[in-house]
Amino acid sequence: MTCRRLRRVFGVLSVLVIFAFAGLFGLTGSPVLNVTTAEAQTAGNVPGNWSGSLSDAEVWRAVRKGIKGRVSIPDKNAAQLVQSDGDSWRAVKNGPVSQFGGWLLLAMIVLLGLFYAFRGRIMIDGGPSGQTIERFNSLERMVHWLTATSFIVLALTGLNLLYGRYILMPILGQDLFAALTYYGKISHNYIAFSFMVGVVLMLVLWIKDNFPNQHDLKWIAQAGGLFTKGSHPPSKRFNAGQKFIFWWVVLAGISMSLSGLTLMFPFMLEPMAKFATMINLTGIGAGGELSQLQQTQVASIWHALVGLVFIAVIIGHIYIGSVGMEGAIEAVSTGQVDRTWAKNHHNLWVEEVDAEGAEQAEAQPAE
Amino acid sequence: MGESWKSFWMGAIAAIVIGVVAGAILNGSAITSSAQFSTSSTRL
Repeated sequence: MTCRRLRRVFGVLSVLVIFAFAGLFGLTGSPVLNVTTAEAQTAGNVPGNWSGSLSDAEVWRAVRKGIKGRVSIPDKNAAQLVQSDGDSWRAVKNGPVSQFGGWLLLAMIVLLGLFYAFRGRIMIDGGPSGQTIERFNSLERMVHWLTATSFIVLALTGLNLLYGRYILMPILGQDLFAALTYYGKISHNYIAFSFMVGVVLMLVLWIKDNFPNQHDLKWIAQAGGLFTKGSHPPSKRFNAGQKFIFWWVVLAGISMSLSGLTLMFPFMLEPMAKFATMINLTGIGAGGELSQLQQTQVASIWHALVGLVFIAVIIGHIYIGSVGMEGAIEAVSTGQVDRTWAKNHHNLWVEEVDAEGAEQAEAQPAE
Repeated sequence: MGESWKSFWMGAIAAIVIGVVAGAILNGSAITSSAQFSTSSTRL
């Protein structure tokens, strides 16, 4: 081979080496061609270069803030990959709601304990007479217990959902707690319907005796005689305190039922949609129209709050109907209450019943 | 206890019966909300 040919071959080879190095340098981004396999393919960029001018961090920030994409499936909610409101919902549920509920229930128990310590059990003035008068018939008592037993199951299973992992799980262990909570939640879902039936029946049976009247003002002014021995403000079949319990059970019961149904059938039933929007307009939420998921989250918080207050109120009801007052429990057990008890606490009602009895006796012809 | 708590037991049993009936109706429905809104449903 001549020198000229050698120089030509050497020149061509040099150019090829330079082009090869340039190409590899462009692909690897490293002057010493020292990179991983993946980087060798993409030169450090996102594979496929799909993100355009946005960084991964910017895309994720938009996803985290709830940006909605496009989906072709029926469930349009799937267009939102991440709903960060769920973090807020969890923080509110496990924070202020749980703390409020815990303190409220504790305060109620302490207050009742103090009341019992200072006032003692409210006894029948002069002792029981031994004569009785029918307070509630068998249907009324059955409806009361239908509602009451349902409420107890709902209250215990509901409290477990809020506090169980902190109080029961350390004692029972994870497996037993999980099983208890699983069956407890199923019970909560189905016994809710028993509670709803009970509330409707109670409304039908007792609404006519629970409208406010002028005697209620005197009863309230004397605090029902709760704080003064021997004090017995006038009352018909139900006093103002009992009327409060009745209307609370009906109205809060309806509220719990609607929010509960929203939670049982999310995105299908929206009985609280307008109410949730009203709350949102106060500025608590993000403002504007709520998405279906946000409505469900509002319903969950509302259900928990009303439920906790409900339990506190019923603890008071259970106290006064059992330990707190002699002669009270018989109203819903046998239905027959002592006449002296009835005259002490529902004197106007006793007069009405006696008058009706007298009229019926007169109406029946003598045999 | 006996007679005096008969209404309690009747109410409690009624609560259980209504709960069981509600459960049977809900579980027997054609489609649950979880199935209806599942992303596995790709029907357009």
